[in-house]
Amino acid sequence: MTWLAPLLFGAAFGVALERAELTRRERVAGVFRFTDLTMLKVLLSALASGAFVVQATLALGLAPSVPVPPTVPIANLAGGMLFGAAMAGAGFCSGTIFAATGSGRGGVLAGALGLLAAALLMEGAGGRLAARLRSIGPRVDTTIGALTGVNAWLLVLALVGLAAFVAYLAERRVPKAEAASRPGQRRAWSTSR
Amino acid sequence: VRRAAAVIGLLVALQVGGAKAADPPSPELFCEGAPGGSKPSVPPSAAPSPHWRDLELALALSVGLAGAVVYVVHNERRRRREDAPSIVWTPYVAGAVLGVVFALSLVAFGRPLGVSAGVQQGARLLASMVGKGGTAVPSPAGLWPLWVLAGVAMGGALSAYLRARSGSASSIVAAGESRARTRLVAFGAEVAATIAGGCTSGLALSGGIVLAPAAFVFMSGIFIGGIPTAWVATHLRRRHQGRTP
Repeated sequence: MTWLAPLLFGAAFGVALERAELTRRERVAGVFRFTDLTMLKVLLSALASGAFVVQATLALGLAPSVPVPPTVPIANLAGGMLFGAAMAGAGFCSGTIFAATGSGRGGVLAGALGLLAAALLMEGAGGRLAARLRSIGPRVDTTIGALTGVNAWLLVLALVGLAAFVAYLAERRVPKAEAASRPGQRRAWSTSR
Repeated sequence: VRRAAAVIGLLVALQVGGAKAADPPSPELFCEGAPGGSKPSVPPSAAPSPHWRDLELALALSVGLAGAVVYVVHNERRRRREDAPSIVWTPYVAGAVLGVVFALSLVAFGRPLGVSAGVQQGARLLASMVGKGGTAVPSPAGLWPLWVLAGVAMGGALSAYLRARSGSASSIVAAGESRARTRLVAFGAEVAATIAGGCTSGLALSGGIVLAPAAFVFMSGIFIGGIPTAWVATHLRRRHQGRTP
């Protein structure tokens, strides 16, 4: 049954992506044009709630530790920039395209094939190049809290505050702009009523 | 917002005031699975008991999050009253569900949920099957990323099916898409994920919730690369349509 847990976790992930409509290209690409901040809201809410659950679990002693990905600033930043350019250009990321494959649309399947082709390339010469890039610059294997000496709970609080602030701005500004452009239409969801 | 900012400022001041008696670097987190990852200097069993400040901060956060949950539920109900019945989740509910799912995967199994890792594992298996290198087929437990990938596709398909049955419009709208461009951009995204060490799920979310610096550097990179690209794409499209900006 070692396959069941990842399958269920993945299914929950896919359902959440589809229900938040992140399988729509406009939703993902819109965040870079500041016309649709759904992806940013989902991302920040997930970070805030997930960080809270992880810290609470560790504090209660329910889990001894959690894995931390290594930080290689140059590779992380360069990869992130290329990834962001791809997301803005195509309107999807790896997760959303697989969550959308159930539609059977040609474009979505073409994207999945593109991902697979790149992964095959990165198994060979591309992988060696990526490994070389990842060896440039310093490497950090700890968390921000351990690196700076700041209490982890305070960092979680900052994350929650950032999520709340962005949500406040998004709910106040974007619906107003939308309402101004479509005066005859009621606002679907707003905090400022 | 002003009150919340004041509370956060107060807590920061308290933290800075007590920084001289700085808490030791959080011993509960360490790197496992990462090649060359460091182990904690203090083993988890010998970790100090939580400080009162930790409990105060946790309590403040719990109250804040409870308030946020009440607000979101209230807004959801109002939205459902006002709009036609919809099965779309608000971004906050979807985000909270995602956060809990990612956190449970990390604390219960010690494994991140990375889609790009699943694609890479699939490619590795494919390469080994056709005899072009790659490694031997791992045990079922070693196929975690591939099962996650299958689950994402299944979950997305199931949700889209239920949405279609409920009569709601499909969330998948891809008018005017070019398959060649999509394939090319997807190619670039996977290459980028390999360079960065993960994608939005495997690095930004799974790393962000354990407060790894890599996640925040990667997310900054996404916006640094994405915003100019979106701007250029929009202008090119307008020019192509004959409406020069």
